[in-house]
Amino acid sequence: MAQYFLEEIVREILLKLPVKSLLRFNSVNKEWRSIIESPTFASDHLAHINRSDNNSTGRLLALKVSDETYCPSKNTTAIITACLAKQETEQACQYNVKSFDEYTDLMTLPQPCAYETGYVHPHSTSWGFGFDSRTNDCKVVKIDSQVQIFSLATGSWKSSRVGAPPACSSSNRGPQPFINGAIHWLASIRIGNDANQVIKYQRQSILSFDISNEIFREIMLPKTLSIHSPKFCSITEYGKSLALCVGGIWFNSLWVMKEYGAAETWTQVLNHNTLVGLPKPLGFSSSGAALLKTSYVPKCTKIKTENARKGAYCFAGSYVESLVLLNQPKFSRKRPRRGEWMG
Amino acid sequence: MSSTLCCSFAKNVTLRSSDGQTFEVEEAAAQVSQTIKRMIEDGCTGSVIPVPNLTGPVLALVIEYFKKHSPPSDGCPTALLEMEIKDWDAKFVAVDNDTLLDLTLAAHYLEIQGLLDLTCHRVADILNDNSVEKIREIFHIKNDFTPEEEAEERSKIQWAFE
Repeated sequence: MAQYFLEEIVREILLKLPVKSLLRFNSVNKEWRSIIESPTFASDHLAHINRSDNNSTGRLLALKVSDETYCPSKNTTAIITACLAKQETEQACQYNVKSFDEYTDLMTLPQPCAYETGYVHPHSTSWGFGFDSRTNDCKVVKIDSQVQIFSLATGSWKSSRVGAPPACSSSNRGPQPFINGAIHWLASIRIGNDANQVIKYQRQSILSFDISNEIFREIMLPKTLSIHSPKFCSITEYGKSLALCVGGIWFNSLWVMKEYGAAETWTQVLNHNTLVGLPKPLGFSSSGAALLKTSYVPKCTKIKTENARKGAYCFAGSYVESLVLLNQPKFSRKRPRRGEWMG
Repeated sequence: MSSTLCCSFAKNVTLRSSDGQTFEVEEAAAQVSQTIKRMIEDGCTGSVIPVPNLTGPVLALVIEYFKKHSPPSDGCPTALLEMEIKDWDAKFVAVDNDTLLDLTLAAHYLEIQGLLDLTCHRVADILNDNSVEKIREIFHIKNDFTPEEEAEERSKIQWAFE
């Protein structure tokens, strides 16, 4: 029966498996191991995940609940997902509880660690994290007076060939979503000074940084939003699109940029009539379910809310399981410790 | 006039399995397979098309797949039809493991991308639910690691499961 397992077919099958299973199947036999460990397999596998619409293998949400943990752990049950009604119907919301216990360190390895490095620093510095698919490398970006990039493959910082974006200050609030190969920050773009060089005119926008090409771009906000302070906005990812959550404590509205980079395609997907009484979500799962802090939600059962009540810091970000880093010897045996990646 | 008439009838081709069974199938349906499509284009239509890598029962299954997936004669498939096909697909691969592997191999040999995706997904689902030992057993895979090597492979990834 061995003929069934032509290498080509085995590869085709393995591409459809999640990372955790692939690690297990390394020990099936030597042929399987050599397929899984081949350098092209890791990038093909990642491309396959990004193409697939399957929620279970696609993007999921990670969460940080306290200052001590940087990845989902046993005590992160203080969350629930509220499956928001589909945008066509905008009907009542349906709640369901989801435990994040099943997510392991492995899956969250790159992204939350990078966020960790970002959040411990002063607000004058902006941080971001992304995956350069051209070089199969995870990178941390740091912007202050200059732009520096940390590469996980080389383990070192370098200065970017582009300077910091002039006339701009970016916000560090909330995670900076990585979409379309670029990191995104909310930013105030200066468009003019008065006679005393005091900033007088600024425009609220989204600043993006393409991690492969090292290029900054400005993405306009929806017209009705850009005149307001971005204080009550956060950028997020909805489906695979760039989105804006508007609201302070309470969720006011959700805007989605249907076509990436095209400001005229901003669409209000949820408005405050639908969202009455819901807190602003931490983020969205790939299926469009909103992740909320529980202590605000009336209908939930069997949820521990201690962490949320203690005011522990929460955020949600999306991540993708991949084999990429596991191919690199220095990451193959041990888990990076807190702060270890700081340059 | 006569040529118009001729084209309104579905043309059939005959396929022959490794064990000599023959099956008649509409040419349009058989062209779901890129391999058969090329053979038809090369002028094999007059005679029987041999499919030496497939046994009769497997070829019969593949022909069922052809029929379900042949392009609709009246234009675009509707959403309803697509859903029905999806359901049908799911039932189609709910077979015993050996048949599933036969179908996977057939899809590969006959270059039927849709069927290959379908069977590979099904195989992946089965793999996902089973231990390494069980997988070797189901899929008749020989373990060519020494016990020491295997233990080392497992210890390498142990940190991921702590």
